[in-house]
Amino acid sequence: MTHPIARIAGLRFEYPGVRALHDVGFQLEAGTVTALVGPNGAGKSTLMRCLAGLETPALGEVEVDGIDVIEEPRQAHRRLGYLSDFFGVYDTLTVRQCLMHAAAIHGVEPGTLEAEADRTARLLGLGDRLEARGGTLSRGLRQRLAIGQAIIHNPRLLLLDEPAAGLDPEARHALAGLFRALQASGMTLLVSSHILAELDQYSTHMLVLREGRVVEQRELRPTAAGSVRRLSVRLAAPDARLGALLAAAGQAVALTPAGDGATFDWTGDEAARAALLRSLVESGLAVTAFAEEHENLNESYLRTLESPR
Amino acid sequence: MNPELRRNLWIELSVGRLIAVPAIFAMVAAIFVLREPGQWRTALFTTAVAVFVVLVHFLGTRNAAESVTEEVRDRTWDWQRLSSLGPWRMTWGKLAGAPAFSWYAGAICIAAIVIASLGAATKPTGWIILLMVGSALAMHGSALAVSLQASRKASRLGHRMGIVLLLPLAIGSAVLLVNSQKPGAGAPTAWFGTSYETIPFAAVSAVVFAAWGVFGAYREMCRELSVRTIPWAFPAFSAFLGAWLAGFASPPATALEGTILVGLIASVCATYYAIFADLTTAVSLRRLALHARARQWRRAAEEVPLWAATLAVACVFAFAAAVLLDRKAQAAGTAWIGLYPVAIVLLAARDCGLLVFLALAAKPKCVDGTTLLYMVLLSGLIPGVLQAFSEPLAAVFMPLGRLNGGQAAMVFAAHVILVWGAAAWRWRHLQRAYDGA
Repeated sequence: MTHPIARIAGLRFEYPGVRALHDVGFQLEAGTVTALVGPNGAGKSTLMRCLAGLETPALGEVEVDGIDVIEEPRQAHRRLGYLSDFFGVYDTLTVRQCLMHAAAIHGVEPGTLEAEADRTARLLGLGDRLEARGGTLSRGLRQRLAIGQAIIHNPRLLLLDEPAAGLDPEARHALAGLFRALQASGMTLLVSSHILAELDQYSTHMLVLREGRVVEQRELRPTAAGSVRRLSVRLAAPDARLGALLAAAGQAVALTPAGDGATFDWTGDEAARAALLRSLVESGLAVTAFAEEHENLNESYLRTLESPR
Repeated sequence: MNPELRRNLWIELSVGRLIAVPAIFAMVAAIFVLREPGQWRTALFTTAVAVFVVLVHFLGTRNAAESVTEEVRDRTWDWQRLSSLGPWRMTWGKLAGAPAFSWYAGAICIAAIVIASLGAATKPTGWIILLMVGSALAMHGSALAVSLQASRKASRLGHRMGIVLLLPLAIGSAVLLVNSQKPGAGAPTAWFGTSYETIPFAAVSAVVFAAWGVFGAYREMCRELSVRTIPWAFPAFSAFLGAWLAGFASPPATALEGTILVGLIASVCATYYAIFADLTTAVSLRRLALHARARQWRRAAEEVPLWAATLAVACVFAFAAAVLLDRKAQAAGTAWIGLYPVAIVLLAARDCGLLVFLALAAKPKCVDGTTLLYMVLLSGLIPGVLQAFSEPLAAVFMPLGRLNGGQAAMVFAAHVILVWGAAAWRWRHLQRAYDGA
């Protein structure tokens, strides 16, 4: 049973003459990776900054791990990490000093600062650069260092604004692996990016913002029992009995028949799914494929944007 | 160790610097001491004081101010704001850390002063050191506070004004310190009718101002770190400043009269400073209105602009001054003089209205500079030009000095109604823009 690690309710943020966020509300479940997507100017960065306690909203509530971010931002900062589109790396400090400082200001025990800095540097592939100054690092290494600064205190919630911007494909791949590892360790991530293919590698949920409003929040790859999955069945040749057999199963909805098969949303469990396949085969249908379909993030996002407002 | 202090020490105190400072100081002191070997104590004392003023008062103040502006420029300040350090730890970490190099050099200067003073019983060395340290801390704290205020604004006008206001303190301290060993330095200072020795009085005052400076930096750090505060400290400081300055008022003004009149001047000056130093935007005013509408009074109070808080203090002083001057006017047979303080406060209220009017523009641009321009036009240039043609017409814009107190108050009341009416019109326009958003 998951519980919300972040809760936003009625969040309103205004710039002079413009409302950037319109009474936004949503929750982030613990241990999930949510892709925050939307067109330019949708309010993604503003939302992230409000969540991080860097901006004061006009109205609304923001909670991280049960802490009211507006009332107790210092407490909330122990529980969250934030990587902004600007890295926040000190050019004159060494990698070790940057990481030790980050750990210290986020409440890590004074006696463990050096060990935590070493551990984080190794995790990010910076173990051999500990004595290099921040200003001498390449963009990719500075990005890694900034991520290290954001995660060194093991936050419950990690906010990442365009984390892969300017990175080469190899570095992006490594970053995706890191985010999966962080999720596996129990961290919750909210990642904003324009590179949807990259987000698709590690996101479990999608949150779509448009013109300052949440237009969709949903799970990308349902895993929980009872969740809806999209299935497709293909036959060697068209068979008129297919529609009736699927309807008879009772758990296939939103049926989209094609000439030699069908696509449908399945609400049943794994045993019911096996029983359906068995019934199709035993009824004499020439089944060539029976599989779960995954809509990628890009398809989901475009479908959401194309849907009527 | 305070993490912010340690970060600054990493940057400020390199081994090279630690060795170079005493070596350079020894050489500079040697030049002056060797020039007059018989007067080596005086030469060493003067050199140490001068080096302290240059390195701690001036360079240290610059470093304290830069400790935030540099971070804003390098885009690391948001990162610092994300820390879980409280505002007090962040404040003293920066205050002790950013000028750490200056304090290191200053400590050597203090050691030299102590050596130079050994055996010279007439010099109030302890008080002089207290004055040096207290005034330096006051300047560092104020500079950090001003710098924090400036970090929220695109305009540097408030920052420059803050630096200009700090200059008299810096120059005054420097002059006092350099003169502290000259004959006659022990001349007394009269304060609220009591005589005090100048150096001890200045030293205690410097320590009190240091406490205010550090407290001011702490309060600004609270705002910067989103720790919610109600804006009472700045008006309280303006009232304190008025009371402290009133102590120098000479008879026939009584202590109470001096406090009221100087308090009025100090709170009006603080209001003008806040107009340029504090950030007033349509967004912050709307937050105030939304919280008030939702009856969240504490949150609404947190959004009250600093100029509004100091203007409220000025109103209290103006009322007291009006009563006080009215009594004197009746005794002297001078009509309406009692309303001059009211006219002054109404002038400040009009200028605050100008700021709000400009801040509520659809696309506000250079609000500070434009406010200053309008103020100069309305209070200086236009009446100055009109004066050549018609004094009554000039008085419509600047009645002070041209009309009596009652008439001046009426003219400025009309200004207030016009300017705040225009601001209210823009406010309604803005509400419609938000509601239609």
